[in-house]
Amino acid sequence: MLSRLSLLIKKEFLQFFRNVPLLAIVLYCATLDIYTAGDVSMDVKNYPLAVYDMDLSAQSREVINKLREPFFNLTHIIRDENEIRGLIEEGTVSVVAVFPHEFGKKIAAHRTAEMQVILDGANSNASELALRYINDIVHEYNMELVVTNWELSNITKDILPYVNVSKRYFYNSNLNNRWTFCLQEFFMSISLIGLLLTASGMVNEKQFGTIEQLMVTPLRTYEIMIAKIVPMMTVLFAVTFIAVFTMLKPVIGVPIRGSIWAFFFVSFIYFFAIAGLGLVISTISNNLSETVLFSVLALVPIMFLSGAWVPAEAMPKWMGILVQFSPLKYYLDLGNGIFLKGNSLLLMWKEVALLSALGTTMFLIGALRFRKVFR
Amino acid sequence: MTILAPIILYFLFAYGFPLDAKNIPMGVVDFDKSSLSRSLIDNFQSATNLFNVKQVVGNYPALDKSMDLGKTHIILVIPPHFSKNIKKGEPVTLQALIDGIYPNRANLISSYAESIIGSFRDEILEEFFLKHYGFSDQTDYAIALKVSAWYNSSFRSEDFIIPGIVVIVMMFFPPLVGAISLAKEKETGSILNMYCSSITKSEYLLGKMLPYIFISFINFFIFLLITIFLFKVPMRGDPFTLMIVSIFYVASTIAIGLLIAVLVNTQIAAILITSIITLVPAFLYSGFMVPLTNVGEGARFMSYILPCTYEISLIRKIMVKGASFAHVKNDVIVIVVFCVGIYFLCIKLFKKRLG
Repeated sequence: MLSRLSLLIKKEFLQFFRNVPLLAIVLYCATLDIYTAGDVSMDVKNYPLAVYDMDLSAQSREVINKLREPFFNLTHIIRDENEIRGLIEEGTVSVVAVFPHEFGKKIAAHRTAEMQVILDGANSNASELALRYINDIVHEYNMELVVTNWELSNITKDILPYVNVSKRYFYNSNLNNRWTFCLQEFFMSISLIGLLLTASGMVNEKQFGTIEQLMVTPLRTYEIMIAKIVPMMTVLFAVTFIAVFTMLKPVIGVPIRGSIWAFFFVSFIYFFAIAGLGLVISTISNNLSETVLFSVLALVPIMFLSGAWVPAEAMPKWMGILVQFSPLKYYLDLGNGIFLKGNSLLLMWKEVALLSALGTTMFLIGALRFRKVFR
Repeated sequence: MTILAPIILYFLFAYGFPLDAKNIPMGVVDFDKSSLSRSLIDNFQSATNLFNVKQVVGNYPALDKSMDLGKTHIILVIPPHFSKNIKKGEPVTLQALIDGIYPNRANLISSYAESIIGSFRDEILEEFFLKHYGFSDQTDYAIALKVSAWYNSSFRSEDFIIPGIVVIVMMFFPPLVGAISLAKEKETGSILNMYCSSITKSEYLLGKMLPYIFISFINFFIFLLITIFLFKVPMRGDPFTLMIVSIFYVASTIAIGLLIAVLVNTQIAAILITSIITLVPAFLYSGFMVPLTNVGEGARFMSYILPCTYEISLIRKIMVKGASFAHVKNDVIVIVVFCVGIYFLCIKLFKKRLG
């Protein structure tokens, strides 16, 4: 029995390795794909800004000088009010700061001067952040002036009940976006490869009619299933290994604070869950178009509900319940926990248990349906 | 199912993207336990939907591991003698411990926390000045900001997110469908019929594309209606320009799939390659969630070669800004060039013979 099983497994491997484009894209996922994902950051950086300075005073220039990189990128100096609409409509700039006449004079006279900020509301999320930065910058400037005023009347900050905040970021003290995005990209691609490979592997045989040949061999259904899954798991482990040791650790610099064995163990459970889902999909679809349709229909929600793009606590309540059924959520939490937080599996036993439960259920359903359909 | 599947995903995203609620789980270590520290905690709790104060405890061990387990994303530490020092007129320092796993989230949390603490600070200072100096210095700030957000004065996130979702969802299925339709014929050999027939390459490829363009466009049209009537996103510009350009957009998404199927010989490879270069990149690099200015050099290339980048820019400009044709013509040109370009590239690379 073992020999015929190993023969079939060998055939699957041969098939995989002969498919050069497939091999190439899988290697791409393990390396370059992760690398490019690290180039993205979510906070507002170099936000295109235009300035319309009617005042041209020392004070207005001082404020403009503060609206600088890394938050803003001063791309346009506006001379005529009519330019504003065009620039925002085209999306060339998203923030316009307007300094009216007498801006400097009012400040010098200790009166409140008005500064106008025009934002591109169509880009609401980024504009809201940009506004926050401008607020902070202006507030700081205001405080500086207030403090100078205090000092004129002999009051210093030390004798005031001033509430300071000292901030500390845990796990990623420099807030390095790269770690997060690269890890995330890896978790997503491995899910994609895992699901599509399992689901399409079987359907491919169905579509070509080679499934009939498999059926008439003395192989049992579960042996066929094992022969399909073992190579897939091996490929996923190889990808994980390559991604961690040639990209994530040496190039991106992601720390491995927990045990890498714990991570491989968790990955094993996760791949089982994904394989189970793949089996289910392969049993309900008749051709590869349907397989892909169902796979994307399953995969995109799994990714979305993982909490990587949108935190689960910010979703509507009913969706928060669905989140509990995304295996990727647990894999992500466990992966981040092991890599960045240095958590042990013992501490995260709940996630491990839930992922195992989800994985076992999915795999059992998949296996049972598989037996029913392919016999 | 081909029409239904994108609609399901559309609704998932439309309802799943958070609008205003943040509900950031928070823990507080209150060493002071005074009425002042409690009022600070109340300020956090009552800031609409921002923070969700889960635990207020008197010592560190009680919150130990809560951040490790992801149960809190920020822990505020109020030092002992907090209110005593303030009453004495001495500066105090709060400590904010923030989960840095997701840096952008950490930045947001920190700026929300700072703005709440900032207004708390101003209140205290104002009271102090009033009491000791008889004037409140805080009100006379040098600069007053006057903010106007054009097109979307209340920063409704629907107006920003949902038009983007329309475009993104159209990037999920059509390329895959296009890829399979051609790869299948190549792998099963039914393409031989086409090789033997008198049909030209361009006719064949166009014939492959047209039905899916039609289906995709119907999908697009349904999304547009839902977006306008259910989610109340305004349609300020010219809907006909948008729809005509969108035909080219859906055609180009299908053509991407065809191009990949032209290049590889098996369906599985075509499926995997197409999904890797469309699914996640459409989310990350198209300007949908992340502003394009934040996409670094390496990934910028992906932004430029994805047609959805331009379509997102176009749909936002037309629907929300009501931009005139002159202001969207760059996007229009790129989308049309993309569509025609990929189509001709397919014809060029597609060999009408074996081997």
